[in-house]
Amino acid sequence: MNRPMIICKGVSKRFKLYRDYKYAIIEYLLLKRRIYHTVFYALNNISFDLEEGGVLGIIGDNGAGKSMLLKIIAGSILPTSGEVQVNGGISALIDLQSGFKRDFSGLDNIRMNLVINGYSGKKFDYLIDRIIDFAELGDFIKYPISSYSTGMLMRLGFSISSSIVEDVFIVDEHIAVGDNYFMRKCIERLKDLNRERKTLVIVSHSMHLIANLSTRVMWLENGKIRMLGDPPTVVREYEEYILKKNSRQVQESKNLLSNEARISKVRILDNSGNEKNLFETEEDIVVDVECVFNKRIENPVFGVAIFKEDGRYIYGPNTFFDRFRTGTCEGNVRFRIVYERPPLLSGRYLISVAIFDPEHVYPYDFHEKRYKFEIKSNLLDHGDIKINHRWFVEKG
Amino acid sequence: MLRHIKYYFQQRYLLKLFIINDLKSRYTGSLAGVYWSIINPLLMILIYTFVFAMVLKIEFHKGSGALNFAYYLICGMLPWTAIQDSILRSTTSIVENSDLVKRPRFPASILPIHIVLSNLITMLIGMILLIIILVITGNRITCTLLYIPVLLIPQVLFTLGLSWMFSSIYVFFRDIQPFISNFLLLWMFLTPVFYPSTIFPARYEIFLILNPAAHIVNLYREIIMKGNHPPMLSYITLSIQSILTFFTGYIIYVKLQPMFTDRL
Repeated sequence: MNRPMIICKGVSKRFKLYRDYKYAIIEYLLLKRRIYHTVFYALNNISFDLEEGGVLGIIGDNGAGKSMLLKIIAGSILPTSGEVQVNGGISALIDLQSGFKRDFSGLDNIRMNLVINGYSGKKFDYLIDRIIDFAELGDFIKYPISSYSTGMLMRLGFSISSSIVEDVFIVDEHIAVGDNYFMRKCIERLKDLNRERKTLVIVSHSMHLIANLSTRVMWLENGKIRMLGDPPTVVREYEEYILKKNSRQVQESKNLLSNEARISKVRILDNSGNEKNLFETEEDIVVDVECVFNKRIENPVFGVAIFKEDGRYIYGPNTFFDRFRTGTCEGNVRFRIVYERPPLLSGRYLISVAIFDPEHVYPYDFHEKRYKFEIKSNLLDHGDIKINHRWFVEKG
Repeated sequence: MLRHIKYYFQQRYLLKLFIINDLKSRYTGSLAGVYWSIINPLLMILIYTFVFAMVLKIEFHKGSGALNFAYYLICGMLPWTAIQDSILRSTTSIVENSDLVKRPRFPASILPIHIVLSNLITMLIGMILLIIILVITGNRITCTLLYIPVLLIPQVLFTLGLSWMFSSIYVFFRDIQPFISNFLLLWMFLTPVFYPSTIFPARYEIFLILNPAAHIVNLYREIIMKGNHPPMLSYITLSIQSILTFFTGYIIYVKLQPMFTDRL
């Protein structure tokens, strides 16, 4: 067992919320005879420890307290109660504004940050070159950062903070994104730091990144730890939760849907009619839908769409575009779509099912991304789909 | 405390960076740039000389001549402006740089320090110009000028103490800002900047003794204009006042500093 690098014991952060700060002063002057504040817990009893070289991924909805936890670990905010112990030097990128002086040039900001972190001499010069090199800001490095775009500021911020990591690097990935090129560079840098056995704490909404990089994942909800464990388990649970939340939202907005028809049951089957969730590439997939029509409808439109688990739309046929006449529907109706030899590669997929009016204008019922299946393939190919192909090589 | 002094010594590069940027930023976008920090006090001296020596013809002491009045005025205004400007700008400095203060390991106390020191540099430039002009206009310059560095120490301690105090209180009580600017106005008139301390009513002399700014202004006049050794009593009083102010300000800063990030 490695020595623990970060130890967090029962950390809570409580805020007194005032409508206006002047009430805080009035309250103080009245010796708290009248209370003007409401108490809000941004973090509630967070305990964990992280060993040296470990990577903690923090996930959760907006406002769950992720950034607050980062700030407390980084030491820029003190917890109301509890204790944080970090056995090493910390570098953090939590929000873009902090750590910069806006009227300084990029270069002076780099210098300032290096000095604050105690660098001098050869190491100082080396790091300056390295940071400028990584940030790729060109001549802008000599201009005041008040003239920078958000993207440039982010590049500078990530470049500085990730170059001066002593033992622990804390990063909120939301701000360390930007264009695809730089994001990839950031992720490579994170991987490098991991290889150098630095301890990382990462907040991200990219489950892919979290699952790939973390050794442990913490799921925060309303300031509390909802789950803390190995990445695949926690990420899967969280994704399930997101899925449920989304469908609940659809359900809540159901009164927007009209009353004519309801989807009552959806099953994913293989060719021989057995319910199944795991398929191979080019194995037939059957989606079987039972529904109830409360009114007699001529030619309603049925649609079944496939999405990748991250929400990317893969394919969505319906009977309207296919000019398939569904005929008169009333009472219990069962329809089924057979995806013949779908060329999908390995991964998790989601299915949406919908019934529309005959003109394909509004849905009677819509189950958005509520059903799941997975493709396990022996193919080593990358990408989303398999395209049949042949190779030719000519020589001489 | 010793640990802190050592710490600031380590941070001297940072301090240099802040002071240079501060001096530069006052004149960014102008053609003359940093040279304004020389042109500006020079223009001030010339205007005062012109107005008081040529137009108004006011004498400071009877028979001392109107030209001397202008120099007396400037000699008092330079340190006063440095004190006033330091306090005014320091008060808001922590709040204005909240982004930096929130950063772990950033020494927030450096913000008032760099403002005080940068104002000190401006003041010294002005003093050097004044001394040059005094020499050119045929005034007697003595080696009592060597006391200037000795006088700088209590001045810095005093200004820094107030700057730390106000800047950290301002984080929690924004009401003090308008109060301070008005208080500084009153303070300026209670300090013999525009008049010689000799016309101060004798029964209110206690105000002069309790006022460190009055000591500073008078001491500068003694050593630059009159060529006297600094009156020991005045200097000792000033030193005690400065050290007290410095430590009060420092303690207030140290006590309030951990709560900054919650309020910024």
